[in-house]
Amino acid sequence: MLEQDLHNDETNEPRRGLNRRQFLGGMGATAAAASTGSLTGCIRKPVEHILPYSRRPEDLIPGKAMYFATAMNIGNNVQGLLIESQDGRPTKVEGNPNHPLNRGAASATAQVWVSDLYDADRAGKPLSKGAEVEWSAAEAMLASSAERLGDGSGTALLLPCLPSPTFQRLVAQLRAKAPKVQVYRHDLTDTPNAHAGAALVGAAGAEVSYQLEKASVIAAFDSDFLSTEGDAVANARGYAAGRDIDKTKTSSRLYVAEARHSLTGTVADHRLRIQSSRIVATLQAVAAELGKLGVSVPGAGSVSAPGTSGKWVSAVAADLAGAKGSSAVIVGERQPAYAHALATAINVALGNGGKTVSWQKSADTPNAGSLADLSAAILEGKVEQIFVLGGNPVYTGAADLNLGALLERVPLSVHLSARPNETTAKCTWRLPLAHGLESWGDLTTRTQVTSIVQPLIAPLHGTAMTETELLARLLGDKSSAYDLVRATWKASSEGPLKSAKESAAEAQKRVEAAQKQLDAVRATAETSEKKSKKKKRKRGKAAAAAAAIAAGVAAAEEALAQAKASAKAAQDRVSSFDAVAGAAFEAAWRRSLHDGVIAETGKPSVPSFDWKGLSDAPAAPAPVKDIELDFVLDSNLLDGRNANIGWMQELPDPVTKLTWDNAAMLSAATAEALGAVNEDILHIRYAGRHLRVPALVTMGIPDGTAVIQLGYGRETGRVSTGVGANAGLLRTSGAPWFGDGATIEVDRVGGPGSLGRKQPLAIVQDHKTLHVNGMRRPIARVGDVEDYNKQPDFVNNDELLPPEKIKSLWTEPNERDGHQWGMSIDLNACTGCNACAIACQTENNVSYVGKRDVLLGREMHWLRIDRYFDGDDDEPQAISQPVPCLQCENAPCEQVCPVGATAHSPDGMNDMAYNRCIGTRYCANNCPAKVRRFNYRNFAKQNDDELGPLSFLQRNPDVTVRFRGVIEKCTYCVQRVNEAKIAAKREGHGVVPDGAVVPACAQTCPTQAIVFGDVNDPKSAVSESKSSPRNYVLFSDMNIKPRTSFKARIRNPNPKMS
Amino acid sequence: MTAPTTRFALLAAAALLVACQGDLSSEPPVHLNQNMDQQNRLEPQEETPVFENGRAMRNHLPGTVAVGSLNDDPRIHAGKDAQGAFLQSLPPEAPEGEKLELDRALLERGRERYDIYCGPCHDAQGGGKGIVIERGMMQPPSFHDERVLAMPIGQLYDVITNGARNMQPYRNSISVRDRWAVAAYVRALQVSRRAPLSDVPADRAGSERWGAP
Repeated sequence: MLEQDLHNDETNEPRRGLNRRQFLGGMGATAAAASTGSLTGCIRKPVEHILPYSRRPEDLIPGKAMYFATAMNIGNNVQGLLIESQDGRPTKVEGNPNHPLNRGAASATAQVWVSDLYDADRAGKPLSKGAEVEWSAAEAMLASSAERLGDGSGTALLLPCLPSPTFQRLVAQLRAKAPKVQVYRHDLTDTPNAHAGAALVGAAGAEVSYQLEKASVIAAFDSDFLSTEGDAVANARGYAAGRDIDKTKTSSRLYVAEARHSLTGTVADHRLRIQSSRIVATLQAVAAELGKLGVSVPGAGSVSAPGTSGKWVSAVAADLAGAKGSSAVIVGERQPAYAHALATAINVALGNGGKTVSWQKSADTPNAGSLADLSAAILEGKVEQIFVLGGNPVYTGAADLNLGALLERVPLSVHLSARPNETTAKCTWRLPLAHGLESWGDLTTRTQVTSIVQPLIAPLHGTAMTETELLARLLGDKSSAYDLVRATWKASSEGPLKSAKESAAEAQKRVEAAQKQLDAVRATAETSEKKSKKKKRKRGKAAAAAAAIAAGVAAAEEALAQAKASAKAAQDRVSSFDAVAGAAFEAAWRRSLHDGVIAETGKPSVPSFDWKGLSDAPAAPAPVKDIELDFVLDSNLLDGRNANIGWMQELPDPVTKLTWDNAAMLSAATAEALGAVNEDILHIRYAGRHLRVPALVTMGIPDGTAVIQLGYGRETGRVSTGVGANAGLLRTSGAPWFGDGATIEVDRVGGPGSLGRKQPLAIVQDHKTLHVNGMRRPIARVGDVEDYNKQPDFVNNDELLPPEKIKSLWTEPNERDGHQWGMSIDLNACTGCNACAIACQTENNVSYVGKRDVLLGREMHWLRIDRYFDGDDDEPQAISQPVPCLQCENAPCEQVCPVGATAHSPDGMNDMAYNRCIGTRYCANNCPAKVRRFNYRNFAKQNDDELGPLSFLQRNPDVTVRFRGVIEKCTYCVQRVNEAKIAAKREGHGVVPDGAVVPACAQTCPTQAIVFGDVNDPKSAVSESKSSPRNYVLFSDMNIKPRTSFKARIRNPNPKMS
Repeated sequence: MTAPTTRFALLAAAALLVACQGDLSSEPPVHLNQNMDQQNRLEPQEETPVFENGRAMRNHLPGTVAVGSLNDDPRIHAGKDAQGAFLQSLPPEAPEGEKLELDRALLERGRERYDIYCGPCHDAQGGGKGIVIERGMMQPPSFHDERVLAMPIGQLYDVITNGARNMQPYRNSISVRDRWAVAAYVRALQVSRRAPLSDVPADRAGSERWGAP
């Protein structure tokens, strides 16, 4: 009986020492203790000090945000950003509206950049053999390394993927100064296969980008181009523009062939579930099929259709052939170079070059070796000193290279790293790397748009070094990053000044020559005079000679005067140029800092290709015998770079909705064959190594395949340590992304290294389900283009009650005057990329709660993204639906609050008064959309305890930080609404113009799926959006009248496939 | 727990609350329920242990340019033309924009800002005998001196922006548009002091407000 009392089965609450009675007893005792006065110490108001600016920066008003344009990169994906700065502290990342790729949007990774900045693990001084040293010692080490550089032999650089003109200039300078220096490049977000593919068809150094808004048919082969690959933000915007069916009445069609179920796969019209090793054969089959349809693909003559040409292949080929010049074939980075080359050939054959697909010169380091090359060089003893600039190659490198052990062999290994990590542990030196938000730099997108990176705050942990500064040190240059960046751009703007300087130097030479001439003439004059004196010639002759000499001298003098005059003119031109060029450079520089974009420096072009490289078609792959292992970049953590950010760990995977873990994703059939169910520990043996990882049955994974995300199982970091399993331990350099030969058994016995029998997985999709008692509600509505054309408002067919039957229980009190805020979410544009979810968290100080509490259903996401599967269990179609608070006009939550903590505002919002909330959670129970979140544990403090006082710096000062025991939820970013209202009031008219209020989620959405505004204004963007026939609201039968409405997703299936 | 114990505990708690009232103490006041009064975030002018000087507000780094702070038109932001000479009239409002309109609204705004920021020293008429001077500060020159009367309006703007001699710069306190409004108002003060009676509109000339003719 007591046992039962102690364990509350209903909430799965872990057993604790207290039951309710004991707790009340304890409270009494505490009160008794308080009577003795011991409590008074902790209930006084804290003493606070006011610390104003002693010299306030111009244009800064304390408490009013300012914005700075800058840029960041994830491999070759450069994003132009706008950083919100609150009193000089960067607090939020948004996309730069001026940037042609971002146009105001930013990916989730870009948005947590600010969280990365305030990561306390970045702290620390330089480390030498594990011991902290002063920067002077590090500088001395770098200076002696620079001295030892010589011709570069014995020196190796391991570079990240960093498309920065200044960085590349310094690498080129270093290579010119020390020709034998070895340059290697390693970055899992880099695209070596794509580069090799371009080289294979004679376009080495070309970087491919897509203009998908012009594409009517898109075929993606193992490419997650909407999430983790390429310029995902621009791709997503282009993709959504091609599907704007209300406007264009047409929709593009997306085919995806892949093994992992990626975000791109979830939005595909036809997704082919196929093992990664068979992607090349599928692509070849498409090429062969295109040949039959009269599109001759270069190099496809040698393609023998390997018999995979099913319905999918012929449908893709037919659609591609019917969309010449308006289609795109995209191959993912995980596929070999040949696949990229063949895709290029298909795109060119279809006439897509320059239209939907374009190529630019890569801004990244050319001719760099791979990590395998580096290991070979170390083994051969060719490396005496190595500089690892950023990254974490020991963790991200293939396990068979054993880079950690190899690095320990190098006498001097320097790791310039943001935080001590797996690689730092193997290096003799760690130098703190400056964060992009605290240093100067420049970055160029693959479409050749350059932005200057400007710092938002001084380095938080004292001195830190940029990659460019370290390279400059090796060149013997102690310049700061600021001077290095400016030098790069000054050199490019100095053409006319240089030529003026040259002509001035020439004029000066002419002056010297004239002077010499004059001296020579004078000398001859003198000697001849002496001679004439000596010889005492006849006077007449002597006089004539003297006159001639005098004339010569005069002529030479005149020439000198002329030369001097022209030299002076040239010098004047130089100085005037200098002044003008200097001023012009300064103006242009400030303008580019302000705008965040330097005018495009390169133009897209179609290079001349050489298709000979395609003649070597790989043979058809052998059928997979065992289980094929697939390694994929995690959608949130990527290669592990975001692993120390709690928000990213807790951000659900877009497909599996898994948080705080990775898993071996299996198809239901494979799992059954293995005898595994979800959360079973799988023991995977592969290529002589093994790993234990929990199983997760995932729809859409091909049979005989296990897909595992990289980026987990870290050994360092206050948040990342020990989260998930390190799949990188199985990777081999021969087959870095997928390979056959894995054997998997369910680990039931325990034993050494065992994780136990089960590992609970924190999956949030099934939390707070909207389907009650098995009744399926029409929540995410979807139709085909055909449905839409037949009956544009087909969404109404799904309503559970006809409108005339919906009756109100009481007179509806809602006022409809003035501004009435509302939101429209277009499920047809939404890809489920999570950018809005992270934007909401950074804007609204939403805490992460940790795996333990996610397992209990206590995640705090104000805006969650639901994912629904429909159709076949193995080959499902998916739909993502962001659900913020619906801001109902007849809000069920408001009716049940016993203390009036949640009430309606005059402008139609469902407000929370946190201080009134006593935590009954009645409102959360009564909310049909389940968007109300209860703060069980003072999660903000829990975050602070983990992250330290730096976490205060990131929080938005305009938003309340909620305490334990209150309900919180989406507010429509009420702080932004109020800011706009105050601004309108200050202007005197009080009318907020349309577009002046943009909530964080709508602001950052790459596809502009979320529109916000005044629903009372018939001309506002949101009213226009809601007038679509696809518009519907959730739970209309409950008569709650939500202000947030959705627009149905429209699929565009190929009629031939059905 | 027995009922009497609970009752005692409640009484004790009540006694504690009463005891807090009316005490003289150098300690901060007692504040029982502190929920969310002090938040785990940094508000303007707050303190943080992160930085050595404890100030949560940080300076922007030299050389950075915030959005909207390009300030690249010398006419608007320095009060000077391209050759570096002070402007004789109001500049355009934006680098490519319309001229700053000299109207009653601008002058009213200028008067409001002037009374807040300038009046304490320069006094309401610009004679330089403000309240601060009465308390012993050095007297600023009168706006009605020949020297000041001869100043172009661009120079008035420049002095407000950058300060002069003992006067501190007001670039951080007064926005660009407001500085021009103040400069225009100062000019209006100068004109009004030297205006002949004939400038007063005929229908107002005899009114009490302007005094007897």
